[in-house]
Amino acid sequence: MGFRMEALDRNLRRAEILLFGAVGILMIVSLYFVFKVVPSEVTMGVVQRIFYFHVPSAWVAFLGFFVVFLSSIVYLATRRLIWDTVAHAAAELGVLFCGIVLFTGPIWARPVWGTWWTWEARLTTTLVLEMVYVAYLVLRSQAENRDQAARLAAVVGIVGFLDVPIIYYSVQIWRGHHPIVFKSSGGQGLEPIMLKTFMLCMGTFTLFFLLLLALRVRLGILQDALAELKEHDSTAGA
Amino acid sequence: MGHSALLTVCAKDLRQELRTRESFTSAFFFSLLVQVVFSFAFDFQSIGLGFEDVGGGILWITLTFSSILSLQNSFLIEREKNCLAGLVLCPCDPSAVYLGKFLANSIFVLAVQALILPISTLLFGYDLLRVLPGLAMVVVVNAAGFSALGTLFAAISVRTRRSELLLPLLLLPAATPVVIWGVKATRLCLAGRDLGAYGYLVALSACFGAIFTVAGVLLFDYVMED
Amino acid sequence: MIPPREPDVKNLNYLFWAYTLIWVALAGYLLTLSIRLRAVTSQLRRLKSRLPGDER
Repeated sequence: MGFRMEALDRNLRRAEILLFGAVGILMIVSLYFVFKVVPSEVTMGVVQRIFYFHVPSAWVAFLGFFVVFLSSIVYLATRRLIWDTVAHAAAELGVLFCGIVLFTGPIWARPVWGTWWTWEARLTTTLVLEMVYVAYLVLRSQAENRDQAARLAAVVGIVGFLDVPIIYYSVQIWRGHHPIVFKSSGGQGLEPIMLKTFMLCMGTFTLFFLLLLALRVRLGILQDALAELKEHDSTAGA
Repeated sequence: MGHSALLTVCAKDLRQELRTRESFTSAFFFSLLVQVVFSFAFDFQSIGLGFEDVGGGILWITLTFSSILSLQNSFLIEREKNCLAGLVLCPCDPSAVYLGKFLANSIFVLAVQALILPISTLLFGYDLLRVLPGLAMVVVVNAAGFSALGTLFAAISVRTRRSELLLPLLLLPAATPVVIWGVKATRLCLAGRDLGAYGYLVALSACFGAIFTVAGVLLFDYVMED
Repeated sequence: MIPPREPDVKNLNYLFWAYTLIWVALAGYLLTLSIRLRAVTSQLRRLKSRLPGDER
């Protein structure tokens, strides 16, 4: 493994330890706030508390896809595989958190709207985005070699993210009755304590994303190093 | 230089297609089959719906899947004849190759639709001539938008192991906007509404096509290297 | 008058399953990551010890 990669591996490990500690504490605090501190919402009752993890998951998924977009651009510009590793890691995390949104959404919808799935705007958009990035991951697995996977995936990573606002907008035109939680002008807004809890959960999930990203990127670096060593081994042994 | 390369690539694809008629035939018969299946699926007399209600969906499902066939074929032919390398080594801007392919693919898709639409009036019994100007515009703009993204993704998927699986997997979610807008605009058009009601949808699809044509032009280079 | 508790308890089920699902997914992913990391690290160590010391 190269000198730079070893330094990166060390730094990532340090970051992971710090993040693990921070996330651990914050997660406990968040759960305490969600279940003990925050009051139940008036119309939806106790099940509304799903919101405190559902929306941050959606935010993290979106953040993941944004990281894919940026890393893909940087990869195509620099051709340094580390950026491709970051893109791959972020895509996996995006798909994971998108999946969480798609499962908790129906669990929330069922008692509140009486149906498991509604083709309402935001859930439909999330479903389409999940499919876009699952296709990204399938593309990676079907490429002929590492470099081709990186290059083709980078193109899809860029195009896919450009599509995100367009998909969102088109589905909005097609549908729309998501509960409007943040209303700037009166109506049902969030109480201060709810907002604080929400922001706390957003922070916790963002740090959790960074922790998982660090772990997954380190895994990718080590896998690349292993592949390189194996190649070296096979050519040396021949 | 760029324009002639573009037209050369496009003309090459069209000439090849005119000679073999492979892609056109399969896309045409596939579309026809899909329409027949839909006639069985939606027995308009018994379900109490008019063609205007579901026609948009029928038309766009047909168009979407037959376009995917055409798009796959346009690059598979190159791969089978080992011409992919030739495309890469073309002494011209790779974006000219992309635009040439995009143009050829759009023409193929529209040619199939030009035959399928009259046949669909026989199958579903609606007045095509009354809605033709609006419908033609909706089909042209949305098919072009679909082709813009589809040409890029077809070039990507043809280089991988399961290209027949990958193209629909990549393209269908990403092209959701044109499908949504196409269906909506077609529904309004078939219901006899005038351009003012669905013009904005056509404009949105045109924007989609423009954005992804630019993306294709910028990124095709990276797809074709090897 | 004490309000009836039935609707809240019923919805508590949904809340419980939602949070359980989230935890299972996140913990599961974290676990698979650490397993894979450990496997790759040990493979690397083994391979490095086998190769002559000239490689980086």
